[in-house]
Amino acid sequence: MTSSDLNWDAIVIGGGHNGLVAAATLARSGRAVLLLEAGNEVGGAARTEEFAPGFRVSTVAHLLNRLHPDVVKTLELERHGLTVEHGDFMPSVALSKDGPLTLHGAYGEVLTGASPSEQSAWKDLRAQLLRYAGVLKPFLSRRPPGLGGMSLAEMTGLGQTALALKRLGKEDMRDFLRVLLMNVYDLLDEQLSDDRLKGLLAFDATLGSHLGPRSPTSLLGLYYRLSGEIGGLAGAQVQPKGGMGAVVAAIRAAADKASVSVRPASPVAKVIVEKGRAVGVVTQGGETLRAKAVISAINPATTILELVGSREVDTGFVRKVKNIRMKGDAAKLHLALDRPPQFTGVDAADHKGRLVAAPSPDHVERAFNPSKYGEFSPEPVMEITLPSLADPSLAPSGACVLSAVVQYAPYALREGWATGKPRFLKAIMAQLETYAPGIGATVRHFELLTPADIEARYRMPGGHWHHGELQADQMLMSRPVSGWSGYDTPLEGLFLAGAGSHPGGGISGAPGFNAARHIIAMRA
Amino acid sequence: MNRHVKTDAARTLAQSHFRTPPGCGWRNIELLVPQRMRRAVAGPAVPILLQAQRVDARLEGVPSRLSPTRFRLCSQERHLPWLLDSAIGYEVSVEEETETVAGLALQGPTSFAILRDAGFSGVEQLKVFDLAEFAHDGATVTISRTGFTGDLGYELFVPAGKALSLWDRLMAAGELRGIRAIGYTALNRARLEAGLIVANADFTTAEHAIRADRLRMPDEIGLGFMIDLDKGHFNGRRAILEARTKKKLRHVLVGLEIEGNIPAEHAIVYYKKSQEVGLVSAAMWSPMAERNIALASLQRPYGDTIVDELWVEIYAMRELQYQKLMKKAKVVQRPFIKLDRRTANPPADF
Repeated sequence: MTSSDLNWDAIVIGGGHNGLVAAATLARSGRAVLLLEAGNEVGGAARTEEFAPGFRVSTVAHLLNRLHPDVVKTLELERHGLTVEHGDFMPSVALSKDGPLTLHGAYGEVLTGASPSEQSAWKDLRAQLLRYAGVLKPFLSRRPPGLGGMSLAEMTGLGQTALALKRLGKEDMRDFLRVLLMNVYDLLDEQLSDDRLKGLLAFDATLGSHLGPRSPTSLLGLYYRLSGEIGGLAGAQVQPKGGMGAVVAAIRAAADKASVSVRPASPVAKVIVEKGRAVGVVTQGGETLRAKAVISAINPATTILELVGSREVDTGFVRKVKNIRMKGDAAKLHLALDRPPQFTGVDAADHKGRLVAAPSPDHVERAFNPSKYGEFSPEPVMEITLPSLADPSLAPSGACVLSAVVQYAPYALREGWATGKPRFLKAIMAQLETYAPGIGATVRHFELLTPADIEARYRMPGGHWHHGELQADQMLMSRPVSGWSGYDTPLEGLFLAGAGSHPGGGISGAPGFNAARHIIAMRA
Repeated sequence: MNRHVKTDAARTLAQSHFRTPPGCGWRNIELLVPQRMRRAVAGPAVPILLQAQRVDARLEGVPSRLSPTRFRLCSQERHLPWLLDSAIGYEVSVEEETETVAGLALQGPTSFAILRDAGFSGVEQLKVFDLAEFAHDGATVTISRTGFTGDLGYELFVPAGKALSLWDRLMAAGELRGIRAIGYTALNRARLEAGLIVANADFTTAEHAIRADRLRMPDEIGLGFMIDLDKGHFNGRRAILEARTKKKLRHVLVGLEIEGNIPAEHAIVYYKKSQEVGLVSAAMWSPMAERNIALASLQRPYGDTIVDELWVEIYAMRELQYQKLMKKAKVVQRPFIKLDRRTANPPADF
């Protein structure tokens, strides 16, 4: 008997980390699950890949800061090889010509390099940010509340949030509501004075979105970042040993243990719809596979417009799906260096941290401005890691890997990326040179992935790592589209489980996990 | 109203033009409509119901198959953006022609005779909903045997620049056959006698409704018969299916015959004279039917399973003083009048 004769309980489309989490969670409930991955290996944008001979890097996502504890616990990821120690927490270093400033521990438990008054202001602001992010945290992890016909569990969840809000106390609650949709720039101006610290926070708030620090609602991005936790601590970040591929390997091991059938190199051509119900898929190889449920952990627009087809859904839904904004602004740079670079003023330990080149909020804003008009930042801002320092297996002996997320690199570059890419690389290298003089001469190989490259290589439309802008109007009940936020679709039996669904992107596993739990609860 | 021949501006319709590749034809506009279109192969114009994605009836429209690959949709409201979005995934192009094509309705007992006398030979071949093209003033006029009056009648479409010469041609030919231009009030009376409903009068369209509970399902405005749930997906299918299975249909549109002769326009409908159960949306004393008729939207089960003891409260203006009347109403079949000449073949001379 071949697998196509089987009637699967669930077919998961897409072997990114969310697809794997969904598949493993469903399989653990006793379901027969088949996972179809288009590429030759699973992991999607959470892979460790060789980009130059002997040099390996986490190719898209390179930091782990929000893997959901329920995912870790339910899938027993620690047993499957995922370990996070407190000592693994990476500091964040704000690079500046005035000398660096460092946030140690979980998002700056200790701040060094700043004046005593700034340290005290940061202590207050950090506590406030974490408190407010904590209120949003349940919202940003569970299935979003349905607006019609709420279940008891949903009501309870909402009630808990209301209670958390209440616990803030009157003054704090007022302030929470005041700043909720504010821009990060103004909030930072209210409370801090050090441009280096403000630049770092402004960068984090806008990382991965088409917003500048002065854009309304940009503070939400920072809350999203701080609603994540790793190793039990909110705001912490680690570089997994072996790169992001190691995290996926642990999830894959959990999936294998739960007897998920994983089939790489099996791109899906079509979701089969019969009488308004998704009943299976046809692969690009022409194989028909039937299942009681089809879970798409790929992009929502690709799922609906290409796999299902607009003919199976209403015009209004097609319109909503087509209107999901998902043009990425983040590029990824990988450098193979002859030797570890020396960032001016940064000590050896901090070189293993996250180095953020965003010297002031104005600088971030100015980097953003051209992207509105289809141009890249002439002085881009970036988040740099040197993963081979902590994990020498990633580079040949003595050499070094540099991995950086660079903004802003608009997906639809007006001049086109064919000519734009070399020019953008030059702009990036010029920035790097100011912080680490001499780095350019040590570059042995480079790889620059623009959003257009990320789209092509990782099947992420717009090259957007969230599979849809993570902004107020595309979050919560409106993610991926309003009215369909609970992982359901208008087609019975078809579910969405990727980053395009609530809560969004980043290596959290939350969309996949929530979708699987929703399906399990439905059939229980 | 005497049902003389009359012209009106084809209900001031919005028109859209569809082009599809050969062989695609109706299939390409099927998503828009809940009924099966394949039977319509010879090119007739069939009234359709377009639907938004949820509960609401969106508009009524009449698509005509101008050629195997060209269609014209006449609808009460403009919907180009929505139609364009509906075309995603289909091999069809849609363009607005509201301003470039002039529409004219020629309706009434002498309408056929006028067209014949005006020289449109072959027009006698047209059965109800058929259409054909005729020469006019160096251009082409499309004539369909359709209308919104329940009477014998035709609708004519010409390039806008030929509208005046077509008008003159018809007026000359109709001079001795009682041709006259009419306005909306007269048309509204004719359509009411024919039992036809008007968007934003008898129901509020999805585009216009501000209050969520004002939207109506096709089943709630008497158009449920047009829905073919077995034809595959179409806009609104899931919503209709869900409303039917979960018994979420809350309203029903009915024809009423009311005692007396005072029109019950916008009167409240009561059950047992006291419980408010609905509203009259159109009403008149019908000279043709010689009955006091109305269209009303009622809350189920009234008008659906409970049809006795319905009353309407009419405020009759009598010499600058309202007199409140409570009149008995009876649910009756529509149309209120049925004219054999509408469908007679060949159409009668007059």
